[in-house]
Amino acid sequence: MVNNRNVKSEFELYAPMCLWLSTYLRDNYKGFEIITVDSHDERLDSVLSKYGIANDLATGIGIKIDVLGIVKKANVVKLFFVEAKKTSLNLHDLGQLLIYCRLIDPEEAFLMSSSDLGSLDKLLNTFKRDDLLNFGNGKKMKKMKVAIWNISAGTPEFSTMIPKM
Amino acid sequence: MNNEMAYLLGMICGNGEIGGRFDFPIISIEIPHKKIRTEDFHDIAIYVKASITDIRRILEPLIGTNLSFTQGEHSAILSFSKPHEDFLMREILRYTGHAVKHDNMRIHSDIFSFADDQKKMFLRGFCDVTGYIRRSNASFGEKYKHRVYVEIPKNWFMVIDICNLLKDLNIPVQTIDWAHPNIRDSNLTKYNQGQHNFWKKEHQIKIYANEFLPIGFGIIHKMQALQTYSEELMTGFKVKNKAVDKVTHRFYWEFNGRNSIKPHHPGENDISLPLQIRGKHYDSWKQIAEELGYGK
Repeated sequence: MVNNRNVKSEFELYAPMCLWLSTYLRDNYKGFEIITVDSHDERLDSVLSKYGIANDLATGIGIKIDVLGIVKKANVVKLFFVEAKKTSLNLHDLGQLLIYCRLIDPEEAFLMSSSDLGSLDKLLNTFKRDDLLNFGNGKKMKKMKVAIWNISAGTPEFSTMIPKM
Repeated sequence: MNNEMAYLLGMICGNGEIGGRFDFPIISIEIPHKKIRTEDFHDIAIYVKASITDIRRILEPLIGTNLSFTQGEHSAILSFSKPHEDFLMREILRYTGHAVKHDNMRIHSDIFSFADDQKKMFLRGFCDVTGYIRRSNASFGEKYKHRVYVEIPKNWFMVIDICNLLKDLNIPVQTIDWAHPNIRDSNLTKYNQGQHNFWKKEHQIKIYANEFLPIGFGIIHKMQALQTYSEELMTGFKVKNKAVDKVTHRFYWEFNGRNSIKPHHPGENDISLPLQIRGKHYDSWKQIAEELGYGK
């Protein structure tokens, strides 16, 4: 058990996840402008337009990402999605983020729960079906990352992360 | 760098030994536990065994071989072996400066350039084998001020490196109990009783429990204790109507403490002390820390 106590509401996860994502992007995308935002109550197209980013695929289809990361340098823009859950993960959670990933093709995407991996544990750890995490255009290997969120540390619990980073 | 490798390096620097043949080194890591029961009377060996199962699951894919595990009464030992030419083994030897034991290792300069996540994993590995949290670790007789103790025998500069890595992560050290005569036998009490080498113990880095949460432990019973004691600490401050951060989140150079003047101790010239501090007198742990490289 990673967390001895869960959060009362999923909303409590957004700010610490935003903070972690910001650190993660700062460490891995040096020289880029970095933006992280709690975007759970706003449509993706609207958030992106605030930062001068147009994404036709995101327009008018009502995608909402809990925590969004953007890194920018000159004409290069990369997106990062974090989907937060306070309950055990299930296929529905996986499917939701996977569809967003296949549509928008972010650079990386994280599905994290402060509870446990739920039914995805068996699927990913026992049956080793990490092929279900694939997205992208095939030129670069991209996999969604699934993990338990460590509340007290304010980071993903890396020992639970699938696939390993 | 990846998280698993950072964790493994932390464990090796904390309590590892590199032995065996030159062409086929054996790396062993000791995970000590001082007591055989937790403070709520659970058998620690069972927790350690369960933790080892998790650790093996994490590390075995990285090292590409099985980890051996032996359980003793007060420690468990993990070990593995790989050819010297193996990439992983060469990387480990490079990061540990080809030292054969943790006593002589330093934290490689590259580790200070790791991403924060990997620095935390390095420290978690290190503290899984050197860190303790117990009820008796509370500060200044105030029972709720729980602290993590990181114990490092002999290796003065490893203490400094760990403190600097914590500083990179904005985690303050509350105090360091140096194995120095002015700190461990400051009034010559033991010296005058004939125990001239009483002060030659391990160094102890003390960190408030709540400040240590971003690192955490991979060993289950230590993590459970950390969570429990952090909550007690927070509650204690709340009850006393004190701001936690103002007490726990302070680096030593951020406040002016008065140092009591201590008498000279004949051990100040001891050959076991590093050259930089040998033959000098100190009235505070902070002066030693600053002299050796942990400061503003």
